[in-house]
Amino acid sequence: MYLTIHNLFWLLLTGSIVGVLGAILGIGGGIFLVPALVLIFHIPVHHAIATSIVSVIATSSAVASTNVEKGLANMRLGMTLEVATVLGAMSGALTAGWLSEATLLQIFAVVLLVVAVLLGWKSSKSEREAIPNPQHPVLDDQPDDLGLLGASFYDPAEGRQISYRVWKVLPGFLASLIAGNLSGLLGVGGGFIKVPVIHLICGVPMKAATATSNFMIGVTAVASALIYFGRGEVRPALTATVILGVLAGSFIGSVVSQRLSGRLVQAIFAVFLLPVIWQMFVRAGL
Amino acid sequence: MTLCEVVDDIIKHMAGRCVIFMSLASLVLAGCGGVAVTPMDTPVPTWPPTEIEPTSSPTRMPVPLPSPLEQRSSSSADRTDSLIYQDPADVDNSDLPITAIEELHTTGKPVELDITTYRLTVEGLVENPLSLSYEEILAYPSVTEVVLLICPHVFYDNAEWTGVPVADILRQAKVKPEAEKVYFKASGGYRQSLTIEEALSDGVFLAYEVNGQPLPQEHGYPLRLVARGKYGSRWVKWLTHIEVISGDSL
Repeated sequence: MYLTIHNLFWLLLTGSIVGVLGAILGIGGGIFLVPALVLIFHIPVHHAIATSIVSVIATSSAVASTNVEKGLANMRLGMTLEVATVLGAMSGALTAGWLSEATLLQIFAVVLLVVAVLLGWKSSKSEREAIPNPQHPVLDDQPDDLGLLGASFYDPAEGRQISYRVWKVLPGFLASLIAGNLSGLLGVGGGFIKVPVIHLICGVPMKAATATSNFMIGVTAVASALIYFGRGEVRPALTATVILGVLAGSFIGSVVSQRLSGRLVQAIFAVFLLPVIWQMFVRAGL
Repeated sequence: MTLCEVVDDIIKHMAGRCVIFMSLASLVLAGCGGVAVTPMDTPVPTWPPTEIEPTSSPTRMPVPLPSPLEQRSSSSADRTDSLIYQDPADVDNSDLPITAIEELHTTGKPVELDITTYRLTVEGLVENPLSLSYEEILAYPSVTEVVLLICPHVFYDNAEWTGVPVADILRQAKVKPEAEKVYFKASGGYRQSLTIEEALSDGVFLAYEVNGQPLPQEHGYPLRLVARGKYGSRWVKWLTHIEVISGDSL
């Protein structure tokens, strides 16, 4: 490897910051990694997205391994919806190859703006608590029939087993298609689209929805990463270095986040994101 | 045990392996990236495959790699391999070989421009806004210089570029004293800026030829910015607008 120490240091640092932010804010790192690589390191957009998509595989795997073990991730629902995310991801990754840098930057800037608005909105309400879902109440302990996709998990915070059925799979499928498409196109996880839909419309409790989405993200990213790889856009030294940083960062972030007010951080960050969005818009010529 | 439970069991058992597979896949992808694209002078495979010349295939990855010994044997190979990790401002390119025109790299999809209606406009904080046709640009006194382009982590090209110094154009447009930055904007929206001092310096010019031939479309035809000492992201291709601004306005 010919990476200079200077390069190595800044890439590791950037990766760690992205990992910490992702863990604290509860959204994947990809959405920050791509702007950082493009604006600070002058990496071409397609290569930045390729780097990001591989790092998404790594973070998703790291988180999913504990979630699957705890039974939080609903594997049957996840695998069903993955059909949609993978289709979306592959078409997104293929589309990215057809788009000019400017167009990709423009799409990215708009999505970043949406994420900033979502963060601001999330910070203004009492999050972390599962939003009660009157339409699809959580079922009593261990009911007989959870349906084809329903599941149950033990919630230590509530000290009981939580069982749920999955309602309306079609909207979940559509959301997964869109999330997968954005994932393949922009190198982001797409959880910010899937989680609200799986939770609010499919009626899956928040913790299970987040865990399931997280599990799906890695599988989805593998599909599009292979397409970026085929185009030669995955750069080894860059990707490996950034991933090491992101993994270390997410670990630190997950420890720190337990002592921080998530709402405050989200509010601060929504504001901090604005100049980044501005820079992306400037670069994209909007 | 119902069928659902059996399926559930299988899935749960597979889950751990699935995760391990994904971690491995990410590492293998990062690792294979190196095998696939290391000799830096081989062109990066493009998508869709139809764009690739018939002699090459998109799955060429493992084929004719030099052995590690061969790779390490010459220090100049080491030097060129490490160029992609360096800042072009720190590199002396005087003893680097010239990259052949068909081996020049590019990223993203090219933008098409109609040369009959093409105009380069110079506006903003200038007393004499300009709108130049391709012929008018060719009529300016030209400079020819070998300039190194580094696209960090991806590739480098050391080519001989010919074009019009940005300083000449800005001098004719009469930049106002409050000017601080110059934006270079491509057809399609891509935009980059240089400070006014950088824009006026030597080695910053609007290229219409590379290695003595007209600029190919994928490299920015009709006009691309060449900026010595700046990363490739600043070398705006398909240039259509130059806008002079003060620091606090867009």
